[in-house]
Amino acid sequence: MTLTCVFAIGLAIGVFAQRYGFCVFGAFVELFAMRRWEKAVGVLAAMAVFPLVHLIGPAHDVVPVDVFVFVGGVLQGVGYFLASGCTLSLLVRIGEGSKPQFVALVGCVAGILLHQVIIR
Amino acid sequence: MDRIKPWAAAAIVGVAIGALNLAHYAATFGIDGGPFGIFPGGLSVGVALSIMGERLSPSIVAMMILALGIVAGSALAAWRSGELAVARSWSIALPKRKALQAAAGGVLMGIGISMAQGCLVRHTLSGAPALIPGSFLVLLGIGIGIWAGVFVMMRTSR
Repeated sequence: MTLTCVFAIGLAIGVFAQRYGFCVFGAFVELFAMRRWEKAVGVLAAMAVFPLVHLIGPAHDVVPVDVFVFVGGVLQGVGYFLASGCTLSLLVRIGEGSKPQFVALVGCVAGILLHQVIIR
Repeated sequence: MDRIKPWAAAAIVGVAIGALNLAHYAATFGIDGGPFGIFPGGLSVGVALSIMGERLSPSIVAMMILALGIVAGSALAAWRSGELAVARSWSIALPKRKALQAAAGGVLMGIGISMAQGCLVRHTLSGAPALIPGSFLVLLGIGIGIWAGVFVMMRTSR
């Protein structure tokens, strides 16, 4: 039942993101390159809803505040730029049938494998 | 939706995505490792762990199911609007440079997701609104990374 709900939520997110171009990475790029705020408004609106989570239950697991987390963020940022999208837009573009985004997803799996092997 | 201002339309879509994120949190309440907001990068994490022969936790399975739902939803919407391009895109050979760029981007993305314990979507839509300090640090790093890419692109295109 839980997984059916999760799949249905994913389906709805996929439809919304494809139909209306919701993209967190796109919001960053449009803001930095074109000084356009439309997509950023969408992301801020999505962020504004989530604090209601405090009415439901505990917040997320704690992410450590250290240099590795920051470097991980920088690497992700450059990676998103090179792959022309974040993880959400990657999945949306794969759904549309895009080949480069599929290559990026394979690269992403390789990157996670690489890091897991290094830290062990 | 076409008759209202672009920023108002974006806000409505944003609230809808935010509500779905909240619904995902509620839906994953009972599972081991939950509850949590949407994490589209979880598909890559799940595939990587499977390749390594690790047993997938219920939360990772849920992340993978969510990602498959997103792909299916996008395919459905693209098919309805005539934007589905599977046959067209996959019948054309990908230029080597574009393929290398996408693969390199993917690898950096993967290392970054693993190091930062989450992707841009997770830290933006769930971590930061839940006031997790580590998420703000990740977002600062991601912002710097994207800004550096945009800066280099704008300098080289002049």
